[in-house]
Amino acid sequence: MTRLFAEAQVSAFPELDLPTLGQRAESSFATNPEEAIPYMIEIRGRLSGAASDEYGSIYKENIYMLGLAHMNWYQRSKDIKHLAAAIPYWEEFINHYIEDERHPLAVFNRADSYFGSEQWSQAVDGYLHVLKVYSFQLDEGELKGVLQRLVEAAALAERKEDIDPALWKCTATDYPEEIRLFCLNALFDRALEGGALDDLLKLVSVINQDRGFRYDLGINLRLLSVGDRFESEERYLEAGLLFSMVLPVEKLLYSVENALIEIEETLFRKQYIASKKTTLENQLVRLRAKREALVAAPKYTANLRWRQARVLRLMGRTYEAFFAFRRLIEQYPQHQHVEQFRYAAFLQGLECNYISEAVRIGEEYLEQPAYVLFEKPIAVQLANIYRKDGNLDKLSFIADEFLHRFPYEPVAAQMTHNLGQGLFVKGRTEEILETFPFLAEEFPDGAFIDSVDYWSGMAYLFSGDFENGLVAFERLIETHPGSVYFQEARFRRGVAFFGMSEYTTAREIFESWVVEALEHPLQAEAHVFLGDLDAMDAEIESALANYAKVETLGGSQALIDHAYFESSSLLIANQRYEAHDELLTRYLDRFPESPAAAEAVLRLAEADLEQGHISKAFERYRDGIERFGNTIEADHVDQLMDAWWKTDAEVRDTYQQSKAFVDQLLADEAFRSEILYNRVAQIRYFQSHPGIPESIQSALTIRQPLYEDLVKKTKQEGINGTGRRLDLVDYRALDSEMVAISRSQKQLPVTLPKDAFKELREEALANGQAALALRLLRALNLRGGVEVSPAELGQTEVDLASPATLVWIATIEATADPLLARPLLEQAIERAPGTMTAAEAMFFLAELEMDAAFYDEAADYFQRILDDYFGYERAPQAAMLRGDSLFSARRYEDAIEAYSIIINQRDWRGQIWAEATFKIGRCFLELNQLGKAQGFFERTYLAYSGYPSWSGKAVLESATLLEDQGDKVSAKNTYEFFLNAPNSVESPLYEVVRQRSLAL
Amino acid sequence: MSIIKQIRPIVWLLLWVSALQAAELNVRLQYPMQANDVILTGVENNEMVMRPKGRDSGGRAYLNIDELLVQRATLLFLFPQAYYTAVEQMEQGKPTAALPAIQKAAQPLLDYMPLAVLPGNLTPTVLSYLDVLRATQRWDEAVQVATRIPLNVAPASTLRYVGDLTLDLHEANQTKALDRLHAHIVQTRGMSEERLSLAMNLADQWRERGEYLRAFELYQKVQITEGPQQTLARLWVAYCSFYLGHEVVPEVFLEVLPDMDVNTDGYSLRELIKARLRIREESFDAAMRSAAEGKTYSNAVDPWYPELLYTVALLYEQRGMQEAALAAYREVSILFSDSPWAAESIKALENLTPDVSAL
Repeated sequence: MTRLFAEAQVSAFPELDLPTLGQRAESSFATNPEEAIPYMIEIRGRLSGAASDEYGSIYKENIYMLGLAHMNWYQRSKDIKHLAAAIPYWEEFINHYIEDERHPLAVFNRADSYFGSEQWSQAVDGYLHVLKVYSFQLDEGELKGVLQRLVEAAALAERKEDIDPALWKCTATDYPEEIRLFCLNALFDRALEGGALDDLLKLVSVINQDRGFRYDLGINLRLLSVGDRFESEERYLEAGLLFSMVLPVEKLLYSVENALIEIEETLFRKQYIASKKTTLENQLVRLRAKREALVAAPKYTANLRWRQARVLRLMGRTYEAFFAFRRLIEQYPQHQHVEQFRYAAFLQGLECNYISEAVRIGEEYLEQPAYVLFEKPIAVQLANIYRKDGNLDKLSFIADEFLHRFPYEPVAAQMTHNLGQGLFVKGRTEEILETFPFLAEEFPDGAFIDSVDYWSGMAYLFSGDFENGLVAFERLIETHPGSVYFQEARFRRGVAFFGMSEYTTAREIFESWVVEALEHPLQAEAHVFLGDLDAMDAEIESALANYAKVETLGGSQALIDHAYFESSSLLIANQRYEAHDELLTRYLDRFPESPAAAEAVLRLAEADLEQGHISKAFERYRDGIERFGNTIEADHVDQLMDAWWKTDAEVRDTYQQSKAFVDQLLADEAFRSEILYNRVAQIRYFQSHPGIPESIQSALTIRQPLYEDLVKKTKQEGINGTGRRLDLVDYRALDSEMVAISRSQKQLPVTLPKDAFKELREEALANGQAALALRLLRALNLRGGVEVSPAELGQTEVDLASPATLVWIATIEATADPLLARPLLEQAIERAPGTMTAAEAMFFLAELEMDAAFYDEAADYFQRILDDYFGYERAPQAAMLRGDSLFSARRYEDAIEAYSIIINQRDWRGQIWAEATFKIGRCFLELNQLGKAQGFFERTYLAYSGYPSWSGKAVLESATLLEDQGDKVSAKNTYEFFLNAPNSVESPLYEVVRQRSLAL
Repeated sequence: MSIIKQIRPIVWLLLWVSALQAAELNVRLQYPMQANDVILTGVENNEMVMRPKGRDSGGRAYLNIDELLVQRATLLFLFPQAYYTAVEQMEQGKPTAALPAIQKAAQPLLDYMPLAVLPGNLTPTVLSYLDVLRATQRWDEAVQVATRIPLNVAPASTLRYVGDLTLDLHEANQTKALDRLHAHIVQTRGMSEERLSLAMNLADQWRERGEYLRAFELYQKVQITEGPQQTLARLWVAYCSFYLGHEVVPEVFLEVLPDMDVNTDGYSLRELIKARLRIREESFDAAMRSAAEGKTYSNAVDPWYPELLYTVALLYEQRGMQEAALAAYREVSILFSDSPWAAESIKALENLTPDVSAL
């Protein structure tokens, strides 16, 4: 059609020759192309097929000019049909004159003609042709124009995908920077329009690898905005990728400044070849322009940082997010979103377990009165942390402030929960009871009332006030049936009844609760209580079944230990040794890392001893020591070691003392007579020979078969010499006892404990088991007489010590410096609360305080032993020393009360009663209540004459009082009463009393 | 006052001996206000020796090089048009054609390299010679020329050029020549801050090529001089040392660093090295802290950034944070596809997920 349109204009000019045609065409070509074109067409027609070079050349020139003339016509008329008319001439020129130097221009003009005549698809092909063949021959401006029109034409022709290769080609470093950027942006648009993620990522990679792109402001802004778009579409991975690429504007400026300095320096120093000068100067101009653009650019760095942090958080890249938010706080403290930065950093810090930093960020937030957006969640989270860290001072402070500001906020309940739990765990239940009821009173409709009731109830339970605990739990159940504490309160109600010894009610509550609250985490604890109730009711099988559930219900290690060891006690009490062995072997298999594992070994050994399996027990000791000896959390291994020595000593003593006794009993009739006929002598003998087993002792009491058999062959008096000798085989009961004792003795390890422990220690040292070696040294020092000086024990040993070993180290250190011992003992108490080791540490601490004349402190420690460790073997001594401390502090009334505690303990009957009675008398004496003092002295020497050391003292005090009052007769009678008493000679005061009596 | 002085015959004789070694060359000595065309005959004792143009009558002028610097003199060697044509040929990618003319112009200049300290076209001309030797792959000759350049006085950019030559030698497997030139760079004393900075750049390139020993030697050279590069050089010494398998050296260099805050250049690199060391000793928490903090205070254009990001990914994986690990590995593999850490990331991705290409 185009060609037809062109040919239709042809007019024949038969009258004109070729030169004239040429002249006319040339004269009007520039100013009036419309007029020139017919002449040129005529020329074309006449020269078609011309053979000569000259005509051929004219023909070529005419074709080229025809194209140009049509384009000129278009420029003048703006009628696109003239552009369309030019195309056939360009086609012809391009196809036939490929070697012509104007060929590139023709290709270029053809493409432009298509473009101008709105033939978009052909324009695309035309421009692609230009780029394919001549892209390096176009100057920068022309090339950019081509690319711009190509992109436009491709869009209109809906052939965008066809131009991608050309655009990619022009992003190569061979092309000028402006061209590359243009193509990159065009490709970017394409990728975004089409949602072609792979293309976008390819572009991103290219950008990242190319410094020119990387430092271009436009590209960076573009990445930022595309990242924004992805973020709003919740495509965080893509958004994060783009944000991470964007360079802060300061960085871009810095790069330009550096390049500028370098070029300026080169130019100034003239260090270049002369021909390069212009290039350098052009670069300088370009860089200066770039710098200006950057200075004027929007400052997007803060927002970029925020976006980066936010997307990292949304992607779960927690650690990077934490530092990203922290950086925002540091670098943009005045940013309008700084509260969000801080809160986000706080949360991320918690998630990363960077607790101390999170706490610092949270506390800084709360310190700013202007920050309000996130103060509630931050305060509650901080309270949670303080609770976990045991930082009760901060917890109390923050809770007090928060609860008074936001009593009706739902999160207030969390605050009271933290406070209640924190105080409860630390045993500061008094503070709960001092604070929580007042909170409830002050804010009866507060959001925390159920929490207050729950923790008040718990505090009451802990302090043994089960009645009030019950009230609190029942109130909670009644008033807050939807509370998170509801089920727990119902369970604790049962605990309260248990504490009040109302076991039937407790059982009813627990039994219904375990059915109704099947998934509750307290199920395990409930079964512990049920097991305990069963054990009390001698429901052995049910108890064992309940205890067995504790483990399957996921109870804590403490509950599991309780369940196993209570089961163990039940089985031992019922002599079900096989089941016992199986139970604790299972425990050791399942919980070899438990701090109580060695206790299980100890119990197994005790069961073996009960069965007479002495050698097995020692195997257990050794196995337990070797398996668990290097872990220092608990003291059971120390107890195993102590048991080794104790058992060894007991078995040996039993054998030696029993053998000596039985030998003498049979061989020496006078001795036998004394034992059989003098009960007091017998008791004294057995008291001084505790190794003789109870079975032998009781067999020698009246009416026992052995006793009766022996009496028949033993005179009561008139025995000459050793008297009648008896033979063991004639006394089967005694013989079998001795056989059993001998058998036990033969089962002892061949190696004595001291040598065995030395060997074990050497092995431990060789194996690098330093903690075990230290433990063995303790045993050797305490039991084997191996000397250890304070210089041998330092921080390394302290770090390796179990609590019991720590107490031992303290005793050694105290010999050189008591001040060094004190923190070690406090550490032992902290590490092993509730154990006998803690009691021992406390006892030793009290003694240190007494030695330093800090009597009140000493009395407090002794009181703590009596309060918390009444079962401790030295509790009676603690009670006595508490009285002594108070006496030394001249607090006589308190001392009387302390001593009175001793004489109110029926289990402690014996010499300690005599001592306490005497000391009460001393207190009254100091208080100048002489009548009462006299009464207690008299009571001492009258009631406890069997303890001459105390009766002697009491006699002296009593008689002195009488003498002072001038009643010398009574005084003398008092002395004589003592002197006539059967055991008085054993008193160290006997001679003093005798002299005083004589003096009267 | 004239700067040219007559010299006595005995001195002239001595000069004759030394002048045998250097060709006489036409030069223009250009001052801010005047220019003198003279014939350069030699360099001796930090003095430029020259005579007037025309027949040699024995007169010599001695100009102290330091004084010339003070007087802001520029030394311009005068070349025939053939030289400039050859330079153009070179730029048009015809090095073989360009070589003879450039060689002819530049070869005599090598005897005057102490004058490279003066502004002018001496070094650029020698570098054009090196250019053409490189382009024609005449490696031994190139190294002979390059090792005659006093890198401590030639324009600082020369070091960059010579450094590039070492990289070319490496690519061309010219190990012996490379060793000679590398030693020339490492053994050059008295480098200015600017030159040390370029030595750092060269070290960076060796490091990026995994040539940790060459990088280590150059960083060592930089770090012994107090200056703005010292801290970063120490960090890179520690880094290279880590990859050379040293046990103690990395920690020692980290310990001697000055106090650094997050804004200090190299802070994030230090954290990367720490993270690497902590991973080696299996202290993963500390490693994660260093890596994540380092990455935060780094920029995507920092050369150590891909490795930092990879390390973060590795540590997420170690902690079982699979999604975070995947995202970080993918970021490395997409953004830094040419980096060795991208290859490592792709391997990790293949282990973590069967669908590696999915973003």
